[in-house]
Amino acid sequence: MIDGHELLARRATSASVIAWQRAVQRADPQVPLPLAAHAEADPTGTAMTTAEYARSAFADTVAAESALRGVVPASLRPYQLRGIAWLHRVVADAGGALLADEMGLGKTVQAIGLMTLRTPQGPQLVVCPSGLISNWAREIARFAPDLTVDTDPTTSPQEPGRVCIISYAGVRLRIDALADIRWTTVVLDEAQALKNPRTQLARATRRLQADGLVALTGTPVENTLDELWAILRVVAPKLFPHQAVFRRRFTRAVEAGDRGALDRLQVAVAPVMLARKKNHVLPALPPKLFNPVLCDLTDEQASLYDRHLAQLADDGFGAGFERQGRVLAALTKLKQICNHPALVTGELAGGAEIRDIAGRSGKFDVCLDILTANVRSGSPTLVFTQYRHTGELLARHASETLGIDVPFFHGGMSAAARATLADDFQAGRTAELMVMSLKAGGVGLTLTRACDVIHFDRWWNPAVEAQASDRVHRLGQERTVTITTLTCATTLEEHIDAMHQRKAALNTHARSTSLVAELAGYDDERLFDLLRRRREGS
Amino acid sequence: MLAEFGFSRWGADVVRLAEPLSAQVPNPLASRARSLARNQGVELTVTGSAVAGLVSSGAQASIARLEFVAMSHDAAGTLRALLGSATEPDDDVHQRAKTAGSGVGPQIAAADCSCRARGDRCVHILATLYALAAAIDHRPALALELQGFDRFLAAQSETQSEPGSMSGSMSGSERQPQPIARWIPLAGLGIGDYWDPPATG
Repeated sequence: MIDGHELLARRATSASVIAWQRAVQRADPQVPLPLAAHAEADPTGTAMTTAEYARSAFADTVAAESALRGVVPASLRPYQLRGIAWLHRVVADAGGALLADEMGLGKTVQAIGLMTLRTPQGPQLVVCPSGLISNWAREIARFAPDLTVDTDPTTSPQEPGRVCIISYAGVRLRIDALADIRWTTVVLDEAQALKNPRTQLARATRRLQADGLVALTGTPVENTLDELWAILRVVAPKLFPHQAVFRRRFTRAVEAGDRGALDRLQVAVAPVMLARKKNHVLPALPPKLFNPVLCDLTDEQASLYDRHLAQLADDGFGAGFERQGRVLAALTKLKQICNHPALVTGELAGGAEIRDIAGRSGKFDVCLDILTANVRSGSPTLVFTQYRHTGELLARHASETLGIDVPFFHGGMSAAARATLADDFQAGRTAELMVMSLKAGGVGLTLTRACDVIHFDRWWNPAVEAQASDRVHRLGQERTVTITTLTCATTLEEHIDAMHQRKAALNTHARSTSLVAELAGYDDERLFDLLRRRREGS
Repeated sequence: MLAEFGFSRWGADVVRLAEPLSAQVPNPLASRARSLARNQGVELTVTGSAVAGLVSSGAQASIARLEFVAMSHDAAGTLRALLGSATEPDDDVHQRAKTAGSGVGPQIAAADCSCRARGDRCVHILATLYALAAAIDHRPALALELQGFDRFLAAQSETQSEPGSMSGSMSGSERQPQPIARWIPLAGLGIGDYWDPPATG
């Protein structure tokens, strides 16, 4: 007979917890652990973690934590520390690792943590999409202020303590110079760029000499498992030397409907791949996860931005009442250039070809990457923008690229049509994506079907953005909400972003009109100073 | 072009059991057996080192039973060292185990079938061998489990409750940390002491 009271009395601390506490207190590898203390099943459910592995994982994580304490000026979440320790161990042992955590869990921070640990060993390289170079530079400045960031590997000295950030295009074009340098660590961000092993880019990447290679991606598999093989071929070429064998064992087995093949694949790649989902680490996550992304302007955008500013400087803003209107018009145009150059060149008016849209706006491309990943992983997403044309462009382009019908929710629709669309989205009758106008969709609705929000452009007032994010983060939402904001580096939008942070610090809720009025109140010199693109290094 | 059965070295070992080198002529039953294995005519059930294959063709069904020889303690020790921290044996491990002189492929201890054919190489046994080779191609660890490698690991983890003793027994020059195994097969664990720490000593 089991006595219920006895069970309740014993419930306080389980034997496995006591064993772990004892092991931690004594810092002693001899303390025996019961099976329950390391009972984590493998993907096939036929084996479990060994006590030795659990112990060494714990020791590695503690070591990483103490090495980074005081060096990284931010508190890392426990799973991030575990990720850094895992990367450090696997990169040292196997020479390469693939970190495939879900978006928003902080892959960038974990890679920077690893680079911090490996700093004394030599120069390091980060390869990322061209739109994210500023984002990397900012994150490194934030989490590893001791590292010096370069963007040109050929002119800067290669020594410990330096990190070079370069785009994938840069690797392809300058591989001859890059291949001569022995890198301590090479981080490949958004590694799905390497999914085709026969491209010049993949070949160039394989020529890089590195003691440790780390690939980061939220979507290691976009279409077929072969893409995972292509990434693994770069970071862990020894694991699956032959593509044909990989195909037979996994790609074709999965296509033929063999459910077990995916589990077996996870077992096979476990030594070099770590892929955690948000629900694995849910207790460590806050209800809202902010994911600010800094995007770079393309050359076309930059020159348009500068030309428009030069013209404004010639024309002037005038004075008096007229001034405020002109300032607002100028700001609007600059923000639209940040969104996409086609919005100001007038090509859309004549129903221009949509296929000329990709590759012209850093922000647009980053956004589409995120949307693609979310559609593949089945996470419904809302994209907010304040401009009707931007929204139409986004909805149209996303529909064509992803092959789904992306609705656009905007103020031009009748109230009834809007209500129907919101209900349809919430009930799952529309595609996973919806583009919304910030002002029309910002209030009142409940759209908890989505747990991802993207703010495509920045509104003057943080409260309006928060209002919009709360469509998704409200009663009935049980998952962690990821809020991504896209900001164009070095432009007006960065000033808005800085302003948001100031406002948040002051805890004031400014009215958006008063902000424009405030800007209009500045004299021309100060205003142009705010609007001008800050050159790198200045 | 990869072989249809036995495209991994571990699977090829089992194909070799169906097509021994000593055979002078191709086995006339082999193509029928391959066709059965190819078209899902064999349902495998693996229990420890025993494999049962339910071979059905048309209205006929036979059960072929195979029993494999357990690997020696030394061979298992060599394999364990070669595997290191890998979670599954690959072709490279196979190659190195062979170079190290330990026989790695499964050897048949006993084979029989419920059909009326004589001898121990009826079409059902052959079909079961081909199906087993295909299964091992997809999951090479099975080749080791058939030879009792799991039981070796479980026994090893019990004696290893004090990790210091392993490296301590090694001679000075080749002392290196024993690679840590990632997973331990559930089959080798006793759940009786799930909550109790293993006794030291």
